[in-house]
Amino acid sequence: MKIIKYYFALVMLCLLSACIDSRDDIYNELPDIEIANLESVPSEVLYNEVLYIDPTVKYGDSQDKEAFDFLWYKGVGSSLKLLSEEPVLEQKMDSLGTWNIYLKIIHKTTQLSSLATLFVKVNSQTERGWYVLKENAEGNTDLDFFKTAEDGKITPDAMADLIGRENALKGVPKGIMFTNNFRWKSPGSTSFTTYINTLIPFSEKEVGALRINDSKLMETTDNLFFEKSVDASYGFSGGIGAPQQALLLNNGNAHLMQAGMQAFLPAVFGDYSLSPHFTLSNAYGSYILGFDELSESFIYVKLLSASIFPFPQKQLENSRLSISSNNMKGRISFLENTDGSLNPQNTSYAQRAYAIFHENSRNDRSLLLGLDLAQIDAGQTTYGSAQFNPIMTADTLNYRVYPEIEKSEIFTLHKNYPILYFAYGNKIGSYSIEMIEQNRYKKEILAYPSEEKISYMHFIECMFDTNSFSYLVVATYTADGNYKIYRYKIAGNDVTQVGSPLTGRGKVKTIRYIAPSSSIMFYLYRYY
Amino acid sequence: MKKFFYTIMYAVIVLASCEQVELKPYEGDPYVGFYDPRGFYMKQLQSAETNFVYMDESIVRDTVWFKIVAKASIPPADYHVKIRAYKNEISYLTNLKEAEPGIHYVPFDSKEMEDFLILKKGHLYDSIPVILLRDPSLKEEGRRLTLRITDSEDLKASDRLADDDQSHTFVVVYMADCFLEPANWKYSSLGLGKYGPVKHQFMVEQSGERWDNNFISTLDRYDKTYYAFKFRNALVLENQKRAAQGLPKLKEKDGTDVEFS
Repeated sequence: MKIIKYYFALVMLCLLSACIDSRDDIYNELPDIEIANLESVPSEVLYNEVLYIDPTVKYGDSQDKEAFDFLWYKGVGSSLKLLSEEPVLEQKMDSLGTWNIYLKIIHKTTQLSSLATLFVKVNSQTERGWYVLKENAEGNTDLDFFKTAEDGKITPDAMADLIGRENALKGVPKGIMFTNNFRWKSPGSTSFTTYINTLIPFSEKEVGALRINDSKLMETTDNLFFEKSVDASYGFSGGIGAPQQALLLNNGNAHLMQAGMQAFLPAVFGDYSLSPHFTLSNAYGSYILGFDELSESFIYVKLLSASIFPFPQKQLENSRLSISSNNMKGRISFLENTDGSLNPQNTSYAQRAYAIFHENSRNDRSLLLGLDLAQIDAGQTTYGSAQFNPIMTADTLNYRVYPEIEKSEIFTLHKNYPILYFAYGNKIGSYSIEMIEQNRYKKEILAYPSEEKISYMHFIECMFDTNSFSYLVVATYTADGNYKIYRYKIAGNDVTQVGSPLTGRGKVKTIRYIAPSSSIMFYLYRYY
Repeated sequence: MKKFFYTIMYAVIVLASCEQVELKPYEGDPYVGFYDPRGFYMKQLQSAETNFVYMDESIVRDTVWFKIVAKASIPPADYHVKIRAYKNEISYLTNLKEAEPGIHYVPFDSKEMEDFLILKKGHLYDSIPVILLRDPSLKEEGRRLTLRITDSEDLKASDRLADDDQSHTFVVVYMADCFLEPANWKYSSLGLGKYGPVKHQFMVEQSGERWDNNFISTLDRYDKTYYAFKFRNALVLENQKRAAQGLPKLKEKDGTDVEFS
């Protein structure tokens, strides 16, 4: 028994002594890799901004970055795309949406690693602001953009030449349309992306579809027609973007693109040649009102029209005259809408238009025709919906009395009152349609330095943005190739400039204000 | 102690009762059936269609293939497959007359078909052909051919149900040499109006597309809008051309005008 006890004690002694640390190179617990200095990384940046991330790495007492490999990844679907292997990430954020960024740091010696994850949202730079369609120095068509903050503050330095010098649409600019529902199949994709906020600028020879969020030119001309032109000869003269469909004139023929489509349909069939002047009423499903230069008649175009329609001869009871809207023997040089009713029987429908009509047989005057826009509203089943001749009034613009109007090529209407503005050279005048004779005409309400010529004028009203406004917008150009854009508030006879002029290179054809608003489509009619 | 002893005894008994059983190969009859691609146990397992109207006049035959599957065992040799045509009374099939052997298709018991109706050695799946013939009668109306597998000298049919059993399975071939209304014309909201063979031919000529079931099923609403525009415009031009030649407007055989509305 004693021997067993001694034997046991000896064994225990051996076991205990084996546990004593007697070696210098024995295993020590490794520290964790700590990644820091990520708190200052912004959670939101703007499209195409460069994101800069300089993390610090702590490994025990050391902060030596040389001891580590850095791997930066972006999550793409269920896989990872390597962005960089540098200790500092400098990444151009070139796609919209939320980026899942992963940083993996690997200790070169021990191969220990640590992972950090960041979420950075990339917002558009170009979803709110002023788009300027212009003629560039080469006589082609491009776009400038003046970014605007939610409070209305405009960045004075334009993002110039959005389409780009090499891709600029060939030929002089003719117009621009907007839709919130363009669909596009990107290269390599098998399905369409829908509801893309899109600008459709067009020149005399080309048309493009520009995605607003990132200014990407998605498609041009041939790919914007279901059936491309056989000899690739296009002659675009005008167009209008209504909420339910856009209309583009090609060699006088109307091509329609329904909201949601990706291209323009074959031309509406018929023997006609439309004037580039169109207008709408404020109804979401408004027909498009235009003028056929072949039949010299006012016409309307329905949604996905199979043909162009003239108006009947039948006059509204309260029409003050009986000018037929068909075979009028003349042409129009202006057509625009404004508020207010011309039909005393239907005063609740406060939409009208005015057209400047030139009779073939007269060159000493033109006629300012007042048109009842209930005729292009299918919901107006009693007094409208194309049941009557739309012409309700006619003012004679005698050039002997109004010589400045004869000289003018650019016109616009105040959108709330029947006031016609006309621009000639570097001056602007006004004609109040419903005022008495002696008070209605002001040959000059604005004038610019002699070297500035007016190239664009429109009353732009924005009621769909947090920053709402109502301005008379005027663009001038000078011989040295620069433009200026002026904005004015109009209150009665007072015309007050707002802010400083926006400046850029080129000659302005037309301007659009765009904002990320769900109600923007309801206000498209204001541009016509 | 007793408990311990019994535990050991039971363990010995369990272990001793396990023995390896040798698996024997299947020695029963080989079977074959038509393959069911959807696995939903539908009665019509497969269908095929041929319309000679889209083919050059010089083409007088066409072949459609049906997939078959070995059941119970993989064939150790090439096995002859026997198929037969029969009149199927099921109401949802297209209302066409039955095809006739030797007139609309090569008979299955002909020498020509002998080398084709085979389930090859070592194949779980195979395909068998039906050779269709371009008979002039197909220019007037389409025909259908409903088929079942039957017992051959090598194989038994896996579906043993009688023809009048509602649950029996089959495959069907549709054939024609004229324009037939696609099955999905009415419910595809094409916006092209009532179907007519002359209209169908006009559409094929104008678009270069077949406007059969397969093509129509690929169209979305905007494609349909485009085609409606296209055909409306094309029809106006066609009727203008016909008027200039002293011809009446484009019409169906029954005299109704072709219209796209």
